[in-house]
Amino acid sequence: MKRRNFFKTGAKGALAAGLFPIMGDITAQTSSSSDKRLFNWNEGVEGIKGDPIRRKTLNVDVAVIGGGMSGISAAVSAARNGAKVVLVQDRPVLGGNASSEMRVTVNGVSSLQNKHKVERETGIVEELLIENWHYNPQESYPVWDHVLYNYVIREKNLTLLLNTSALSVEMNDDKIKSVVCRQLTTETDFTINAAMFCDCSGDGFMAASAGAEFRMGREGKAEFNEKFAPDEPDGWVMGDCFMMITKDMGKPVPFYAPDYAIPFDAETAFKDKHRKVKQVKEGFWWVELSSKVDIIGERDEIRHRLMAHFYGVWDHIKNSGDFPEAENIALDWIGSIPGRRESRRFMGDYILKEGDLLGNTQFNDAIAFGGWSLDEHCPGGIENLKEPASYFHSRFNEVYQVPFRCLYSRNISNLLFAGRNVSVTHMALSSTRIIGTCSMMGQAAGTAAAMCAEKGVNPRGLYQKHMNELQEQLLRDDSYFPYRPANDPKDKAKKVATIFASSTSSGEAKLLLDGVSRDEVDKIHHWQSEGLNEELQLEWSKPQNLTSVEMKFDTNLQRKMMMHKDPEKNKGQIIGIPPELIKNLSVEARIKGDWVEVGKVEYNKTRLVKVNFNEVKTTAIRVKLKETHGAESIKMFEIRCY
Amino acid sequence: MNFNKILILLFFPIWFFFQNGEDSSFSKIKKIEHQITVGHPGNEDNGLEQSILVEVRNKKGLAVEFYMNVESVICVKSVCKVVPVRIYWNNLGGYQKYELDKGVTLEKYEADLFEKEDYVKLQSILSDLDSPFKNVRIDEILTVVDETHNDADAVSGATALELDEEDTVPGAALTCFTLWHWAHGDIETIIRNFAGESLKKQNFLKLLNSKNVDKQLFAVEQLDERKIYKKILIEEVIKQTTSNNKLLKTAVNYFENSDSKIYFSAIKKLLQKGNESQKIVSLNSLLKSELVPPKGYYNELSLLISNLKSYQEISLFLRLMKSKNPNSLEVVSQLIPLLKSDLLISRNVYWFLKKQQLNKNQEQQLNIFYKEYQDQL
Repeated sequence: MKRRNFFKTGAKGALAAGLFPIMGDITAQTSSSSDKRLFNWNEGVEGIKGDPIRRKTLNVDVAVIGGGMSGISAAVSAARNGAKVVLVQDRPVLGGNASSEMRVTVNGVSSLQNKHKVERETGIVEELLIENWHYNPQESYPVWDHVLYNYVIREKNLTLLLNTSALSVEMNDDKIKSVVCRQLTTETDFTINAAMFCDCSGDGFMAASAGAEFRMGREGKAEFNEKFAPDEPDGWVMGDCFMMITKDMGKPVPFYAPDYAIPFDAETAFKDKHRKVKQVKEGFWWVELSSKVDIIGERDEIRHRLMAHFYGVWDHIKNSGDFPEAENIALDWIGSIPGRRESRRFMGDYILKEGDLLGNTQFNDAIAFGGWSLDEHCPGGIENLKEPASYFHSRFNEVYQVPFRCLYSRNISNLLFAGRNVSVTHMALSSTRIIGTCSMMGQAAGTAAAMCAEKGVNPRGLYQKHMNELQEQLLRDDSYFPYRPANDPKDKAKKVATIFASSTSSGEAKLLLDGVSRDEVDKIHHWQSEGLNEELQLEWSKPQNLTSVEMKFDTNLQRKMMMHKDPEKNKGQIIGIPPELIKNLSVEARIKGDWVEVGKVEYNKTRLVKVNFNEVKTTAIRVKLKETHGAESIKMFEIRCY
Repeated sequence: MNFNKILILLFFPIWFFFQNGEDSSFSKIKKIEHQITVGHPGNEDNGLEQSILVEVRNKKGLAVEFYMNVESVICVKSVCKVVPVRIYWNNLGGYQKYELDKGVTLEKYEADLFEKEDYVKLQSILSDLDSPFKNVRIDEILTVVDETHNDADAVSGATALELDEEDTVPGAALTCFTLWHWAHGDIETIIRNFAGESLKKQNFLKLLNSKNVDKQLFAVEQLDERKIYKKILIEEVIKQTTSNNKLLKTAVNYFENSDSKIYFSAIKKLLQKGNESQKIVSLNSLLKSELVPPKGYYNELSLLISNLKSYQEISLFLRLMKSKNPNSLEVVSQLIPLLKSDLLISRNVYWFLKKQQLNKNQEQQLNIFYKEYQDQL
């Protein structure tokens, strides 16, 4: 193909694929194609000399600042719930700590002290992890970036701005009126007017600029009666960290440390049982640095010192002679931006504390769950070898709840947050900071923001008047929080006269209506068939007008699913779509006595399957469950009809 | 029978008589050595091992017991102390006990020896079909248990095996894991098939009449495996199945693997005598079956409509008639009375009848139903 032709057809292809539409009404951010003037510096081109910044205005319902896993979850869930959304990410890729730039593992709840051990998060974060195995079984981090990109840009209500940082906010009393964000690649300032703002950026520059109350550092024991907290409050936060990936060269390879490397005090460091070199594949979490003053302000200095320590450690591994297993190993990738654990924590109407996690406080506004251990890294990191690298204070017997009141600002009325910057104490953050938990919070914040915009209320008003509705929507969208079964009055499946399956090997069909969409410890909530090509039928006494059937299927929530830098850590995981998951199905409605197919799904990749169709009046629905991605029977947890 | 998972290599079974009774209560017992190949999840890629499985037959020639010598530990790095352990099963493949040679002891972590109570606990673990070791992987056991991160930013001891003390012998998890999977792996099916070979008609009848579900399932499974379809045995399988749903799946599978005469006859009997679950499974089986029924079979089945009570049974019956026996006058006449049944059933019958050829009277009854329930159709 000639180059000219390629661009012709290529542009069509791009349009068809929806690449341009994602920019919505901002596609004209660069100069008009009809403007043929040459841009000559200082030659009097009007509007260029003096102030080169382009200016655009975006009017949306929800602005999400920060495109990490929490921000992605918030933006996508807000868009799916009907809001017009802009997602602002200051990096060229999505994913934040989990992106190829930092490569922190998307960990979730594990090591529970109960039979389940692992209690995987569902909803958006699970959709992403499954989709990653579909597109990226090679476990490439740059490919993972683009899996996230694809996932975000296909949302029709969502505009994505990459390489764009929040600069300033304009306030209207206690409300954020707009946020100005600069896209460095296009020298464009976007003034984003929105009804609701979600700060999912971790450090929270926008929220802080708005004057949202925050804390940074460690609370003392007394304030929240936290037994693992320090006696007195101080400014220490958990540190930043570099990852690496190596390759085996098949023959000895030398390593020459850079000039700025700081020698590693291995003798002292290795006295702590946690500071060990157990592998030479993916870096060492204990090579971290923190601050007791201002980790944000010191971040670039920390980055440099952290690189210096990292190379010092690697120099020791390669050249001390103590690690013969590293002889053939060479660095293949090392991060340039440290992964971040902690900085600002914005204060909401509730501050989640250590005791809530350990005592599993039950909240009437639960919107997510957690269960990572209280894994508090030591103040100072690698520059404080006198303390253990982390204090593993406690693990959990069961998952705990995260309340909605931790996700909105106590003093800025239209500001929500999700991720590591939510309203928790330092001690609670040592558990809630894990990416799976943060993503669930993101889904809750985004859903809430969309509801607030739609109802014209602020998040506090949503909590006071519409909390049940928020919880129901989250449960419908495959979130989960313990001890809160779904009971959506709009779900017509709840009114069936009978529900039955063609066969049953475990559980029973009526459990699909009990509102709990996963098996809990010693409590079954599923139906499982004997084999494949099975059917599930729901029958009403009176005709129902239906437009969708929504189902939740098995993906084995007790098995880990994340991608790893070290393939050794995939043991016990499935590299691919979970074999238990339904692959092909169809939905039929009985209309005037005849079964009519109203929708079908082929090569399904999601636990939550929504089959939408034109409205039908029917007295019965039949789901034909054809095959899975490998399992010999079909297991599901919920069916709903709307 | 899942032969994909199981490889059985039987080389020259060695028959010999065992006279001194040391290993059995039978005075004259016969032992057969089977050379088998069996997998163990502790081996890399579930690697197969060759082993000798000894079948013990009583003086009547029936398999009564099996045993096999295995190694106490699958030891990846060859640093463990490995001792021989003899494992015993009954003729259903159920684990019974383990034995060590005189003077042989099992070892725990760091060379500690098993205490007396550890041996008792090991027996309890090996007897537990749902022991946590069933779902544990060997790499979880080999992971050093220390409170540490498992990832760049990971949890304390995330991959380290966590078991309640009651579920394991502390310090001997690898031994428990190794022996549990010898005791409960593919070997169970191998044993059942060997034991099944020694059974005769009377033995099958005895097993089917035993009131013991495990024995009954074993009998039906072996009848199916060996393709034995003697009338008296079929009758007994039907009789036992109609009184116990646990036999249903295996029994229907057995009939599905027979010829059409036996299959359709057996299914009809289950429909006549069975409970709701048994009728549902039977109707589903007929729906999926590709066997050709005797002439008039489905019309005869329609005489059993009064036996069908639930909505699901009627619904399945109607689908069956629609796909295998459409436009049958007998079926239509049997269904007309159901228009007076509860709404879910009568509505379904109404729609079925709408597509059938009806006489004037039947048309009239259909119209009456329509007028009364048109808002609920």
